[in-house]
Amino acid sequence: MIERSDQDGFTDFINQLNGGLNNVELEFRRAQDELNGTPVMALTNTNGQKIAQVATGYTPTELEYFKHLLDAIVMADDEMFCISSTAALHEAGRLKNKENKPLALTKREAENLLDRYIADQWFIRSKAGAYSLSMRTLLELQTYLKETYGDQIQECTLCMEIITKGQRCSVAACSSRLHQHCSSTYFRNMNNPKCPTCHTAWSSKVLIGLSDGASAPSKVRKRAARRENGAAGGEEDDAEGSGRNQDDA
Amino acid sequence: MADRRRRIVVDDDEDYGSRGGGSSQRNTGKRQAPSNNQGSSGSQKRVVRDDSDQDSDSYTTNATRQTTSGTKATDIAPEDFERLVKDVVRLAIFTSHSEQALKREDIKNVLSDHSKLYDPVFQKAQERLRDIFGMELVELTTKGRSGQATEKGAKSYMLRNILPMELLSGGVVNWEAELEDMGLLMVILSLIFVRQGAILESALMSHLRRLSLLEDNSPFGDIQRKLEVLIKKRYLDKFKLDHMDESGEKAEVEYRWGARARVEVPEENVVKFIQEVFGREAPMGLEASILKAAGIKSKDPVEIQ
Repeated sequence: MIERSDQDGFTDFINQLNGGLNNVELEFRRAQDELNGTPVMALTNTNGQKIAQVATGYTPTELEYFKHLLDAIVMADDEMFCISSTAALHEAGRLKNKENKPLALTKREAENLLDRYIADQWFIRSKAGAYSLSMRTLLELQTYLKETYGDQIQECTLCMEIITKGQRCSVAACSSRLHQHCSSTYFRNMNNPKCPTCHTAWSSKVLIGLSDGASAPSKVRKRAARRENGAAGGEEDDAEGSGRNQDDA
Repeated sequence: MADRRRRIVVDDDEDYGSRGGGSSQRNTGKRQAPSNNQGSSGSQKRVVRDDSDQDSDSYTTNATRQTTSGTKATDIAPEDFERLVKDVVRLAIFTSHSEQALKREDIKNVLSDHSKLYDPVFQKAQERLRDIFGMELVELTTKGRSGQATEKGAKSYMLRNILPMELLSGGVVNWEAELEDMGLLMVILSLIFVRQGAILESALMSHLRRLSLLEDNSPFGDIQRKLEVLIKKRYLDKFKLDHMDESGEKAEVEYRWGARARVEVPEENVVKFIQEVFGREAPMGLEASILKAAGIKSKDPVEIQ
C-alpha cells in the first residue's frame, strides 16, 4: 500500500523529469491499465514528426498493416474496440501501398507480424483470440488516435483518459463512460449509483470493449479514406468473405 | 556471474554522487567534456549554467549567452538554434533505440541550411543528452585496419551510458532478456582479447563446442544466427582473410571486436570478467597472464596476486 505522501513525491519526481524531457518533446505519460487498474507509465513522443519514424523498427508494409488493424479496432461496431483473429488476418489481404497497388502479405507473415505486435505490446490478444489496444498504444499514440478518429475515441468521464474497455451509461444517448477502476472509485460508497452525466441509475453491467471470453466482431467497419473522397460514412467488410468486397473508393 | 558490462564509461570523473544541495535537482553545471570525445573545434569550453535557473527557459537564455569560438552561433535566432539542438537530441535517441549508428550526414540533414553550426549544435546536444538522459554520443572507430577504413568525414556515433555502474546493476533495470546474450558476448570478447584482437572462426567454433553451445538443444539455439546478430549490432566484426580455411572451400574468417564493443566494454572489464569466471580457482598472477596474452604492456606495475 503506497502512502499518500509517497505518491505525491513520485508525482513531483515525474513532473521534474518531464520538465527536462519536454525540452526535447518527450514526456512520461501515466494512466491506469484498463484491465486491472494497475498504474502504468510510458515514455512518449509528444511530436509525431519524421525523425521519430526511425524508432518504430517496422517496415512500411508492417506499419501499413498496423494502421489497418488500429483502424479496424477503433471503428468496431458498438464500441467493442476489438477485432477477431479472423478479421485481423483478413485485413492482411487488403493492404495497398500509396499508389493503391496491393501489398503482398502472406497469411504466415501476417501471423508473425501479429505476434510481433503483441510482443512489442501494441496490441493485446484475449484468450479467445480477439485483438484490442494495449496501454502502450493508448499512451504513445494518444495524439494520433484523437486526431485521426475524433469522436469515435471516447474519454472516461472520471479520469478523462481514452477508454476502450469499461462501463457505459445504460442510456443509449448518454456519453458517460467509466473505466472499471474509475467506476469502483467513483461509486465506492454509493448505494444507488447514478450516471455522473444524466443521473440515471448506473448498471455497471453495460460494457464497452471486450469482456473476457466473449468473441470479437468479425465484421470490420472501416473509416472512409478521407484523403481520397472526403466522405464521412464508413463502409463494411465482412471478414467471412461472403462475397461483398468493396474497395476503398 | 559477470556484471552487466554494457555502456560503461572508463573515466570515473563524473561525480554524480557529490552533487551538493537539495534544491538543484537538475544536474546542471560544471562538467568537462571527456578527453576521448571527438574533439570538435571550439568545444573545449566548459558550459557553466546558472544554477538558479530551475525551469526549462534556462536552456534558451544560455544559448544566447554562450558563444563558441570560431563559429557564428549568433547568426541564427536562439529559438532556431534550440530547435536544431532538440532535433539532434531526438535523432540520437531514436536512432539508438533502433540500434543503428548515428551518421554524421544524418545530423547534417537535420541541420539542413545551417550545417556550419554542426559543432556548436553537436556540443549542445551532447550536454542535453548527458543532462537529461545520462548518456553521451561517442564516435565509432574503425581501429585502422586496412581495407576497412571509412572515408574521411563519414563519422558515425552511438549513444553510451555515463551513469555509474552501481545504478545499473542494483536490480533497478530489467536486463532479463539480454543477460544471456551479453554473457555469450563477454565470453567471445574475452577469447578474442587474449588472442590480441582476432580469433579464427575455427578456433572460436571449437571453443563454443567445448561449451556445448553448438548442439541443437543449446540454450542459444542457432549459434551462427546469434553471431550474425552480434555482428549486426557491431559488437563483433568478421573479416575474410586472404587464405583458405582448413576445408579448402572458403576463405578463412576471423572475428574481432566490433566498434560498439570498443565503445561499451573497457578492457579492464574483460580482465575482471575472466577473473570472475576463474573465481576461487584463479591461479596466482592471473591478471598478469591475461595482460601478457593480450599483448598489453601495463604502464603501472601489475600486482602479482
